[in-house]
Amino acid sequence: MVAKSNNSGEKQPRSNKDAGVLRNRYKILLQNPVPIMDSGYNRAYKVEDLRDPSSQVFALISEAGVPFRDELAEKLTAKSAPGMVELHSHGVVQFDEGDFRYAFVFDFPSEGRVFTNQTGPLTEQEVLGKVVPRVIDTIIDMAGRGLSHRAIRADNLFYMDEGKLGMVLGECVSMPGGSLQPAIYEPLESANAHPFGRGDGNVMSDIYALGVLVCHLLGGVVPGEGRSQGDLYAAKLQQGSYAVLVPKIPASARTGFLLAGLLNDDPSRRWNIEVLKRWREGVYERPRPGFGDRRAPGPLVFEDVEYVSPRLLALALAKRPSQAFALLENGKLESWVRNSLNDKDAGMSINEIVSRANGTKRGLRRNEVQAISRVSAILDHQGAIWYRDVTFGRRGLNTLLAFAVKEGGAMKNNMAELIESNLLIDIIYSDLNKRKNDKRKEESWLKLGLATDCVEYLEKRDHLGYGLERCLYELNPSVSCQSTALGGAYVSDITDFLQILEYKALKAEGKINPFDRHSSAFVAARTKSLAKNFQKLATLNKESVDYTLTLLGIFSRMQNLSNPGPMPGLCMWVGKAITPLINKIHSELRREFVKSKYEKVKETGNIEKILQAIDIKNNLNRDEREYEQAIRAFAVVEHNIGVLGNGAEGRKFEAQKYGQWIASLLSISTLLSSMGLSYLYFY
Amino acid sequence: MASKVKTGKSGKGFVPLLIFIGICSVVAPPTMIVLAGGMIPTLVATILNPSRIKGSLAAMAALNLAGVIPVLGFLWERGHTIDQSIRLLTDPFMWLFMFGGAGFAAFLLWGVPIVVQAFYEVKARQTVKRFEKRRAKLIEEWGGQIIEDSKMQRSVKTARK
Repeated sequence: MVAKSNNSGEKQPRSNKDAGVLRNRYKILLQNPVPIMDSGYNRAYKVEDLRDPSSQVFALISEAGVPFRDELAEKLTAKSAPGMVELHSHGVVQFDEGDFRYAFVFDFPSEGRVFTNQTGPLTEQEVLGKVVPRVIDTIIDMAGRGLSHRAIRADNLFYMDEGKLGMVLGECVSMPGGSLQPAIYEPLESANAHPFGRGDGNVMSDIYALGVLVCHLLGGVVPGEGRSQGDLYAAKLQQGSYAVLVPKIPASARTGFLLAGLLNDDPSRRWNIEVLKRWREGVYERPRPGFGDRRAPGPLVFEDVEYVSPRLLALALAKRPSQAFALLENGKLESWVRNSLNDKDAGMSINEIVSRANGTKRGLRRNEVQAISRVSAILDHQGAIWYRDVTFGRRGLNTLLAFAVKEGGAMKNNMAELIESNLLIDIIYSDLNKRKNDKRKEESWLKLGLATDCVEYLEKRDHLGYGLERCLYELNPSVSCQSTALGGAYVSDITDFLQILEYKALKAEGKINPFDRHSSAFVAARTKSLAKNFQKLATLNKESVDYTLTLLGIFSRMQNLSNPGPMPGLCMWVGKAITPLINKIHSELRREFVKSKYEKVKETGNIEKILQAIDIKNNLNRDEREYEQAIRAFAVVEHNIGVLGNGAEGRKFEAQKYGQWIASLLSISTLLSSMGLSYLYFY
Repeated sequence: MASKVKTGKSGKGFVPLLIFIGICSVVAPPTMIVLAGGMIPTLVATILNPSRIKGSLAAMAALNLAGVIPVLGFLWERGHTIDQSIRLLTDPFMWLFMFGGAGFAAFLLWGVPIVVQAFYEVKARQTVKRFEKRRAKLIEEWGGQIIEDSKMQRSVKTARK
């Protein structure tokens, strides 16, 4: 969204000449990929600077559905950070009528990477003299602006000049924070999380990554290479990062001090910006290296292993929830937390979790998993949250959700289950309760209101505008709409959404399905004023007239709110959508009348005018009433025709009766006449 | 049951007739002879009365009597005697008078209902034509579905009953 505001007042080019040009300056050449600069899901392409042909720049095209760090990009574009590849520009680029992509344009590091697997280890002099000060500059600058780089790693360092004297850090905006880092580069808070769930972290994450970077460059290989993410995490908890990483590299005492300070697992004891500044100025302090997680005086045996570290225990419990639940039920865990860890609050919370899990009869297995997740989060309130195969750092839920929705599969379902189960809300509360200050709610890693809203969205998941997709767009403002109707185009607001739909609808003569689960959730998330429409939609039967009309009403509102200009393509789609409604009109005359009204008004390209002109609901109501009357009239007519058709016998009988009555009248008249005439004749 | 009631009623109607015949046979035997001969068609019709419709008997009796009355007039004019009555009964013209009335009654009883029925049929055909026109108009305006819907409504109504 911030990126869009950067675009304000700047219409995207329409002519072929301007296609693929960012901000009238950077022409992105899709035919010239630069694979060495690819970044995660995002592909790199050569760029032609139209104003300065001598500048060497490249573009990263953001993959649809992958969130990027838009606020960071905005700040780095406004003021670049020293020691970092410059981000010249970013924004939506139109390659053809329906092809919109989000692009970042960076300086191209023409001299290549500082370190590759082929270059081998760097000398201590190179690392401490060139790399570390440069990275510290970047970290200090970014920290001063409340930013974190989250991509400080050996293969993201580049030489910019021919003499290879200066080096810079590579980009950090096109993928979620920390998502491209090898697991070893992550501090304990996110080391165990899924790459997409590590979160943006803070300056302390960058400082820790600097420590690992030093180890990596001096050692020549990724520290902990060949070991799994879980192993490394457990080792860091048991021995501390310093002990795991440093003994394997040749390092002087100076480097050792630096690494001990940078790799302390406790962020409050890790070297901070002030210490780094002093170190850069040549004041070397002797830090105390960390030794992993705190240790309880007495062990707790779980699965024949003795645990003294609560975070290690949390990890073990999360991996074997069924066995862990038995430990919960027998009260040993609660007792250990109360007595050995001397944490009465945590003990009470665990006791409450066990009671709740036992009190719920439904979904036994799910109860166990949820209870264990809650307990794990209590035991390890700084590390990643576990739920089945979902692991994410405290601020990494949104990006992991984007990954889960993009990739689909079991993780997507587990994310839905996690959010719907109130587990998140419980963990947020539990984390908040550990803090003592007043600004509790504001400091939560996920706003409580948003978490509760997400639970509601999932409860209404069967309805358009809700479900996991809604959570995705609410939690990730930079994620583009992933509706298939948009054909992969980047769309981050309603104006673009309508513009692309209009193009697609016009091309397909209205034969599109613009309102699938993704597009509806996207619209609901980005247009708060339509909340009531979506609530109404959720209460209506999908086959009903009101449902279609409410749906069309949403598009009409969107058109008025964002782009009041004519939209003939979408009006054609409206025509297709209302055809079944018009066909529900029984009266041929009325049907033709409504159709002619639509044909007349569709030229305006305004959905609201079409809906007003055809007044379909009123017409349907009147038609229904009149049809009822017509049915009754028809039944009477049918009955009468039947009666008359089958009434020949009756009529014959009636004619017989009536005829003989007439005959008798004539006879009596004749008798009277005969009597009268005879009287006159004979007397 | 109805026929029994009818028979009872006609039985009651016969009593005054028999009294009348009895008195007349004593007071005016020539008249009774002419009446007995002339009213034979009515008598036959009364006995047979195929349609059992009141009007038909009345018509037959009235027209038969209308034919007999002039013969009675001749009887009373030429002399109210048994001889005269027998003489009149031997005159075929008198029989023509008396039986002609009955025959005309039979013709009326046969022909008038046919004419009335023809009128009824014409009228019914016109009404059906009008209804069919209305039916076609309803179908034209509301489509063929109205046929099914009206049938459905009728069956719903029948089921409710």
